[in-house]
Amino acid sequence: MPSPRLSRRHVVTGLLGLVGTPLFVSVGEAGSKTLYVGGARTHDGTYVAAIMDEAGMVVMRQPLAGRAHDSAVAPDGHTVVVFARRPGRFALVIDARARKLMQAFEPAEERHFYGHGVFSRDGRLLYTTENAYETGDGRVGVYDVKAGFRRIGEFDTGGIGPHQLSLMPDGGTLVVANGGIMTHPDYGRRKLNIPQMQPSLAYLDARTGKIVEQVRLPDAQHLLSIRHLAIDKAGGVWFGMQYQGAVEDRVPLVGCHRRGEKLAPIEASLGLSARFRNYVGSVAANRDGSRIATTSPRGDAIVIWDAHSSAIVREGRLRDACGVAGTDAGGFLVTGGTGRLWDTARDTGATTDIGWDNHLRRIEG
Amino acid sequence: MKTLLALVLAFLSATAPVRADVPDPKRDAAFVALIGRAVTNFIRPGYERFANEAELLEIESAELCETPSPAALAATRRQFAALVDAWGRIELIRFGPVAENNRYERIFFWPDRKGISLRQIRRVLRSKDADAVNPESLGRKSVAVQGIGALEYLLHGAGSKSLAGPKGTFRCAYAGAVSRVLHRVAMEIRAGWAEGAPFPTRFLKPDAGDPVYRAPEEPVQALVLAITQELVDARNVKLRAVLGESADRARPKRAPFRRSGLTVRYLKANITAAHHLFVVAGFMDLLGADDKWLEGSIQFEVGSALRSLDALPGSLDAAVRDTDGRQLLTQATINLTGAIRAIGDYYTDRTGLTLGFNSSDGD
Repeated sequence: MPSPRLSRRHVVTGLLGLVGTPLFVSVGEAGSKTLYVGGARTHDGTYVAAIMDEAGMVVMRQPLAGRAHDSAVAPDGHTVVVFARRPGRFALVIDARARKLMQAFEPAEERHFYGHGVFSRDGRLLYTTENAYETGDGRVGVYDVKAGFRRIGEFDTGGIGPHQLSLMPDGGTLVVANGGIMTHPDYGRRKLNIPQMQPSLAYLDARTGKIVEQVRLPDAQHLLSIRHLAIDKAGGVWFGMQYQGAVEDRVPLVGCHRRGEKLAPIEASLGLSARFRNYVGSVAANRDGSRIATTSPRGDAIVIWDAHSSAIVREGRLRDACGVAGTDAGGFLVTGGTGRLWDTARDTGATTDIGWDNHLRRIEG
Repeated sequence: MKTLLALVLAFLSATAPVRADVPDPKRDAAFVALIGRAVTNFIRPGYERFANEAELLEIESAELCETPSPAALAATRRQFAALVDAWGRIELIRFGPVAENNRYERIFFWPDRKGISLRQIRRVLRSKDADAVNPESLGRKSVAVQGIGALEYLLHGAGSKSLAGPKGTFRCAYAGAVSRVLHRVAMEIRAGWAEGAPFPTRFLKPDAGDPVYRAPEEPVQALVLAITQELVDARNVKLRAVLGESADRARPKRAPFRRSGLTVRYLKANITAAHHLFVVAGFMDLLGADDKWLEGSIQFEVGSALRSLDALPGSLDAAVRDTDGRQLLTQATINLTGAIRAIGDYYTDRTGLTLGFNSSDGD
């Protein structure tokens, strides 16, 4: 019987076997250029990490062993780590400038990724949300970048089902969205504790893992799973939620939390409930943090907020819209699972030949 | 070249514009007819049967508590098996009234990896918690101490033989309360699906202004998803998780209804129901003559999986540790994969019912 360690090494070797063999569609010019990276599905049903330029020209497709979720961009702007979607266990390091897969790594035993991660400000550490699934506790995995993404430790997130995490503007605090939903790889993606879920937003000292602040919604709103985050220019933590109750219930879906304050959704987001079908797929800030975009693939809808006034300033529709990232023009690029794109600043669309997955990141390739 | 063209065409069809952009009244009418058949031929009779079995169980357990005897216990256990079977044939419907007020979890809180139920039920028994014997207060307690799972422990777990005599008074009263709550929940769901009730009205007649079902294809997608999800669960959660990688790594304790020995019967009910819904709702009607072969293919895969389960030597516990048993169970997972692909991939692709990449199974 093969030991689990050995079989895991097989998987890593398998992934590394793909190093240097990305399928180039077109090779970009050398030098810095704005690009976007996201997970995607190709027409033959295989999964890739894809990089495209602002016009929607796909310049790199890195084959993956399974479906990806989000990626983390290093401070250099072009080193990207693409994470497996839960309950996956792969992370791939891609140099977007060289258009090259550099490395693959995995979490510790009895852990899987939730699909999100973030680099420390100096780029020396990578933090990822993980599931310690035998106990069901949320973890932040800490990886030493220079040591080849060696896992050097982990923090407790103070909750179940941590999803997205971000680095606060102080550079020393992580904010984690504990979605509250327990899953176990033996049961696939099945949600195991809906009646008991307790989502929260937790702030962790990025050096020690100490929980320095943790806030929850009132008990009556415990079915609102806090999933996705973006930070505005004033340090407000915008969060998007996914409601686990009936689709016809009317619930708020978006909020902005400031340290030391109570956790409360934005009143106006109650009005999105029907259109968003109680589901926010992605949250992103534009380049200067003055605007926040929220997307709903279930509602085929995009809503953009003014970060200062919390007012809705723009709305749009795109089939299966989910991935969203800030553009150089101050707006957003939105991707759909159909392959369609929407550039909000230029109000232009484009169509790619791949279906874009949940999240999109701006990079400099 | 031909294959490439086919692939490109397949992808173009998958990236078709938002459904509302291209009205297709004929297709919508076919969808509406299918939804009607699913409700009339599957959903309503399924919940009807579940409510009836729950009522009978309430009666049996009341009789058991009144006059405990080995014969009364056996009768209650038989009725419990009938209830599990009825639930196994309707549990694939996870939307609508069953999704409200935690009804699904109150009926069957599973999987329970951390053994929360067992711990809490034992605590109730030890402390003779008065709240547990009153259906009103029991209904407000944790989902872990209610439902079919709790009832299985009470009727088949350690100490269950006491139910046949005077020592089982508290346990029996608790089981009676669980049965009564189950019956009540089953009646609520049945009423929730009755003609004229709000949910089926919307389900049967989708409307662009409705937040839940905006177009006729959406309830149809929900039904296809229910079918494939049930088969995927049967394969992954109920079979593979129990099989483990090898005989000495099998995990028979993970099997649902292991204490009552009803695992295989329940699994067969799940698989049969998924296929039954596909047939009685007339899903094949949406396909053209070129695809009629699919019906036979699905029939074959489902039939083979059921035959493998029927051929198991002895209990599932024994089967997962036995070479022949493991082979049969593995064969069942292979056939289930065939059925899942036929419905989840081929059928949805040919009928254009493919769900949005991001919206279908979100994160």
